[in-house]
Amino acid sequence: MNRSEGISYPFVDGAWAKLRDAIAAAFEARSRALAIRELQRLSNRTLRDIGLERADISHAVHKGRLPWS
Amino acid sequence: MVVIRPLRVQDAQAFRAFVERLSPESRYGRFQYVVKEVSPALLRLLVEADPRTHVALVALHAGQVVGEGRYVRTDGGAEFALAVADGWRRRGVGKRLLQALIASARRDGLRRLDGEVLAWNQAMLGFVEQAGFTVHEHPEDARLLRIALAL
Repeated sequence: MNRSEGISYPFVDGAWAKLRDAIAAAFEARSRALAIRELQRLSNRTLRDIGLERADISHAVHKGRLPWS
Repeated sequence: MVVIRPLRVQDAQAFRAFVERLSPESRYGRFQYVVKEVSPALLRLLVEADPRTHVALVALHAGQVVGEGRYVRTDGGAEFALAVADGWRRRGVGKRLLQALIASARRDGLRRLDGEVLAWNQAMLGFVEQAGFTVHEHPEDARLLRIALAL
């Protein structure tokens, strides 16, 4: 007998979708964290070259104003 | 022949090569931090600057970027930065880039051009003083000097 018999596929799909969303969110959060870290390493001079002030970094990344976002 | 024109998205790799060919001192003088490499993300930010607030120019010779100048609009004025490839100094490239930035800023109705120069960068200080900029102490950072030109 196939052990998967009796498993509700909608449940599996729903669980998988949640897991997939969680992974995507984690990747997105990691990518934003990396973007913030990279921007924080730049000098004030270079930040101004790209139209940012140091205090705006987090906001800019989270609001999708940068290519990483 | 050196051509001065706006930086384009297609210039990205030539621009990266220009930055990476700069000597460590020149790179530090331009970006004011230790740039080991230009990441794809930073490259994109520098090359695809918002044209509503930025003017970015390049000096090109035989397909190679030999100079870069840009300004970002601030309240009533703009803050500029400029770099010339090490082998192209004292050949008028910086002067042409600066003249083009000043002309663009005037067309934009800006009243002044400001900048920051590392205090040890005597070559840049001499260059901007000759162009008419005034030099002032930096209010927050002793390593830097503020420079300004009324337009």
